[in-house]
Amino acid sequence: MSQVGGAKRPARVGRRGFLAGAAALTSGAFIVGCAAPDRESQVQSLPLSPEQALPGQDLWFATRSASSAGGIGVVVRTVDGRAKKVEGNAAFPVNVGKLDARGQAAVQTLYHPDRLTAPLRRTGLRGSGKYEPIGWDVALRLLVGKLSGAAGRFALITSPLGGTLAEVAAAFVQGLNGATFVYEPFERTAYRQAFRQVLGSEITPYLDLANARSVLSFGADLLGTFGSPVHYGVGYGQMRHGAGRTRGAWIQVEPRMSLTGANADRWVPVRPGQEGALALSIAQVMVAEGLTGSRAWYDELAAVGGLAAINAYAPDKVTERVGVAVETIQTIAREFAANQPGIAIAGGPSLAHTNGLDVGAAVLMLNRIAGSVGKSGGIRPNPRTLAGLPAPSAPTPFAEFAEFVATLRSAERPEVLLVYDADPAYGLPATLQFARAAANVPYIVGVSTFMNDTTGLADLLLPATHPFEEWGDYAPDPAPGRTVVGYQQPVVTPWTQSRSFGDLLLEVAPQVGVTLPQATMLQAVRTTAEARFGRPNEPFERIWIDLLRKGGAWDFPAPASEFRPRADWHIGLLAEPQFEGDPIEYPLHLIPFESVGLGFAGEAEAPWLQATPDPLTTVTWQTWVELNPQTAAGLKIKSGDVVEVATPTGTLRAAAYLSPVTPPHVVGIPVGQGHRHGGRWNANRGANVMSVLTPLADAGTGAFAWAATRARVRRTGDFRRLPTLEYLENSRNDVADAPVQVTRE
Amino acid sequence: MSNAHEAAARATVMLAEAQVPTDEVTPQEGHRWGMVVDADLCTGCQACVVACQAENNVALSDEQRVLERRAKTWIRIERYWEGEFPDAKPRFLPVLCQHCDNAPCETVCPVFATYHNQDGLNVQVYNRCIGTRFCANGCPYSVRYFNFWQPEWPAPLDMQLNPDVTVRPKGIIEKCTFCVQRINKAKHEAKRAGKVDGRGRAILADGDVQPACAQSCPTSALTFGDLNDPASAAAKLAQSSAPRAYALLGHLGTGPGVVYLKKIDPHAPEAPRHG
Repeated sequence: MSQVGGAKRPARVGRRGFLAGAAALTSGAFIVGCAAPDRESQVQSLPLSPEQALPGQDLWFATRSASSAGGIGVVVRTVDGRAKKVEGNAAFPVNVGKLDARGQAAVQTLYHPDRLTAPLRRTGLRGSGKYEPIGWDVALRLLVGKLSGAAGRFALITSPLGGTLAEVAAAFVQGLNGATFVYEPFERTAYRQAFRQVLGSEITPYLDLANARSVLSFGADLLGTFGSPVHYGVGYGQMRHGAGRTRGAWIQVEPRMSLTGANADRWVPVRPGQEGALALSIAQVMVAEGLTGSRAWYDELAAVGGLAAINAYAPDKVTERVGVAVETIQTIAREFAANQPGIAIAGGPSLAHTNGLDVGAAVLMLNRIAGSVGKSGGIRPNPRTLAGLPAPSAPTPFAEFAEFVATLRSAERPEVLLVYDADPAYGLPATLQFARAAANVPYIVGVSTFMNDTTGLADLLLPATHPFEEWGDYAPDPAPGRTVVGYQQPVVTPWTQSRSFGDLLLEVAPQVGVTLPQATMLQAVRTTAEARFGRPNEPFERIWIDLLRKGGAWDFPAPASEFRPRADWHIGLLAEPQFEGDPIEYPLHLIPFESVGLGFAGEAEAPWLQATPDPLTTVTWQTWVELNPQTAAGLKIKSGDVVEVATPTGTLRAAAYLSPVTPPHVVGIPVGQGHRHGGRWNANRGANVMSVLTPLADAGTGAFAWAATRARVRRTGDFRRLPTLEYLENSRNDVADAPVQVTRE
Repeated sequence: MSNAHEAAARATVMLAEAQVPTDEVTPQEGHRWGMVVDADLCTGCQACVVACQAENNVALSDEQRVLERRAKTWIRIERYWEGEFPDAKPRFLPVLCQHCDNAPCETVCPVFATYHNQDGLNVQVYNRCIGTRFCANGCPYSVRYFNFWQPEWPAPLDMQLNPDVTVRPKGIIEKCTFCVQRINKAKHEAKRAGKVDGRGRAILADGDVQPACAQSCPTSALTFGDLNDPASAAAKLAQSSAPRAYALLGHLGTGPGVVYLKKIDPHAPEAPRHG
């Protein structure tokens, strides 16, 4: 490849290697990355003469999905060196050829017209968005200069990284004696800790949906946005109508109907924060009626104070508190117990409370009482990941992150703050005042594919490659009950002057006195792969090409993993959830949620995902406020009325949507909109619900209790037609039915 | 929902009760491409919607287009509510061109821009279309989309466009093709590999062709195949699930090539009434 900005690009597999791989191709096979000689790229522009171009023939590359959660294998169709279509990798065990909407839309973020195309240096005030383009040589001099004087005073904020990139980043930060903060907006800390506490599992377990006869989910939107939705979707399909199977039953308990709740056989609305009490009540019924499947159930009960303690959660004693009828609690217990093996799991808003860990542990206990732990159709241990190729790092708990934000205001603040693929300025509650705190940091460097609310504060902005333009490896989280490692390779030549974050760190490291064993991500990834998959007396090149062609390796031997239930775990009596704000002044519970299209940042850039209707409301392109029709009627609110949602810590405005599945005491608002900085399709669009949340944390883990905010809603008098797929009922029809323009200038 | 959608919903209920036999699909020689949509597996996740747009160069639909009801999605997930809180239930129904045997859109086109091809596909010839929109008015499923505006892909977004699929200009109708470009490609490859019958026609094995929507669907709610081939997965599924099978608006006699399987609701107070 040609050099950009005077710095060398990462080495690629050469043309000869490509031809060797191509020779083995049959129709539809996947091939590996390669590079044309430099001279060929220099005589024509990159977009017109990309590498690997075989005119008139499409080429397929196996790599990692750029946007799907959990680690999904894809194949990308390229024609004349341009990515055309992303499809699931049929051989990849996690998703077996399937792919979600976000994964499909990755070509739009790859070729987005508002991507950062060159290094930028701030020229205006911080946050003003005023930058000037500079060359990479200048950018690297600036970066090296700042980092060289920041040993011990350096901090890195990233999204959860995994694989070799996580190792490289950790070594880089350690070499500078800095600190790393992993930011995940809807952090799954309580989810992970509950597994550790109840099952002794350090690895996210495998939910064997395909063989389950029942699933009892407390708030985990497994089919929509939680964990690895494509993976769970495949399991759901098999559970419902797999060959030779009886259709499994699905019960969903949650404060606001998720996409998974919409597909459940039985959907049970529960008062926010009371999911743990409901779980223990279900356990009480199972014990009292002799429905337990485990002889050790009494031991399990010891963890919550024994039989006497659990009897305090008898349905008639908690029905009012949890908002679920006695008969319904009994029915759930009987259905779950009668349809074993089954899975009881908690996630999403059910764990996002001040008692989140207790809720998670109480729900997981149901599996042990039912006797399904470790069995086919139950929660099963996943194999360990490869050495040197860790699963995505756990997020920094919210409480710790909040302390870090406070540190930014103190004399202990870092001299240099490096932010990669994370947007805490958008996702943290406004009361933490991240942007104002960050203003005290002398130098902020953002590495990103797009401008966002955090990189918009940066002094130096470095364009990052798209995942389809870089090398990497990953351990899917969760794994599908088998050993799997995935490989990520460039499928197109970058059309911007971007560099991968890993390559950037590896290039800068020796210049700032940090010694790292490899010089490029390709070398680092390949070295890890060779250590595991290399065979004596066999050239690794052939093995490497095969790994890339398949998109990874699976079913290889790995250290055994098993649950080690801890004897000392004890949740005692469940703590009552704490909420901020007076319940009379703020009578509603605010439940933020992810829609299947928009995530927190990158996905909102893609117009396909902006235009993807939310499955339940069919709203596109905008923020909406879900209200129960009766609640809305009491407030004289109709669909499309612009309402003000006030919490103890902030307000936002958006149009109301009257949803028949929203509980009367709940107001639901999707995340993903309300960005100050971004591309043409997501900046200054809608409202940011994360900004008005109260900064409460789970007492057990310090995780963000993002579902623990109270709110009130009032009509503002304004109206905004919601861009929906459906025609809205209960709307102000005089406006909603206004004639539309048929022609345009 | 729109009047048409409400009508579709009502008719869906009628058909669910009527249990229209699936053998109404006209047997014919060669392929009869069709799809089985299992409403009990569709989660409404929209993967098929975006997959279709990515494969078929469907124009971007910005907020204004959605507000104008001019948004284009060759396949859409319709959502219907049943019941009241707390027993309200959403129902999802993927709706795409039904590739009808007796397609109302075909008979009204004055320039034969839309016709039935030898594989049972309802085909749209873009170069013939003069934009009368008679076909869109005639389609009871509202799955034909008119290009009111010239589609735009701000550079370099156009790099993603699929070279196998025509970009449709302003003034013509477009719709789901069952990814005919993939069918043609598979036929071409079969012929190159010598897989032809006695009349020189390509022989395709079941599964050789998958439209983008069916390929992406995580739960495998969409099964595509040759309904004329009793051994195809689609034909077998339609047959084995016959008690749940119905045709969307089947009472109109359009002879859809899409077979719907009803949603199963084990807790319904009466027999399931909705797909």
